[in-house]
Amino acid sequence: MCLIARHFEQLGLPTLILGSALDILRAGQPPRAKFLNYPLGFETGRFKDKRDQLKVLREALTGFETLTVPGIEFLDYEWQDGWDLVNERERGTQDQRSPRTTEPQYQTEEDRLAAEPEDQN
Amino acid sequence: MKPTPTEYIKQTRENYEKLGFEPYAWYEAEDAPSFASLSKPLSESRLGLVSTAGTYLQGQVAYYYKDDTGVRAIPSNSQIEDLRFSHIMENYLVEARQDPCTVFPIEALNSLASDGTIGELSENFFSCMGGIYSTRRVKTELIPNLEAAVEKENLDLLLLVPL
Repeated sequence: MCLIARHFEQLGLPTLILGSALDILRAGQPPRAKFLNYPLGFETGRFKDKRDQLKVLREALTGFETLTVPGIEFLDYEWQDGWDLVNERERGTQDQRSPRTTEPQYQTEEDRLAAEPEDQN
Repeated sequence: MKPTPTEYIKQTRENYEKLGFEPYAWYEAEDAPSFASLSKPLSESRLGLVSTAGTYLQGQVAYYYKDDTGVRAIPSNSQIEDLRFSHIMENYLVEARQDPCTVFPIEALNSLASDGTIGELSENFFSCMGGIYSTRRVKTELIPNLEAAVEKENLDLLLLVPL
């Protein structure tokens, strides 16, 4: 995402990354970023918690105005329940990737039929 | 106690080595980025969104997992229940498939536009799939695809949310 941010910034469009992988953000030196220390998959707030999601976005967007030089600011929120949930699921698993195929991978069969109706007969 | 930020690069590098996969090459910047100044405050700006979570709408073609560099336009007034995800790291999207707003902040952004925090939202938001192994293809395919899409939205500011 840092490559994308840097590209648009070079074109004159101010960008802000809201991300949860601090080391990946640091490696990419983005123009503006807010780091939220939640597990991946919750970059824009807690599960089914509309209040938290709104708070995260409201706070993150301030970065457009508070970052006057390139940098990464931290959002000071914690969510231990989220880490417990993810750690429990990933216990003992090493490979997190899905197979690298060239066929569209729909969330549901219904989605596939909606996008590829010619396959219905 | 506050959790220490996870070292994703180190963790993934070690896992892939154990599994015998080719290493994933994260982008490492060699110089400082360009920095564009804001022309107006957030409250007067038109804001766009790009997500790399592999977001698509029911009715759109999903992403494929081997270096898909395609882009999907998601109208900023889309219904949350129409949002879907396909991504090579779909293990991170178990909850997002039940509550898309954990990675695609369409509801919060609409609320912030309604209360005047944001001037206005672009007509379309955009998504693509991250996890592309080739930096060359990110530069020669994905970024031009995104640039062409974003160009039409007359943005003042762009929010980027990686998965």
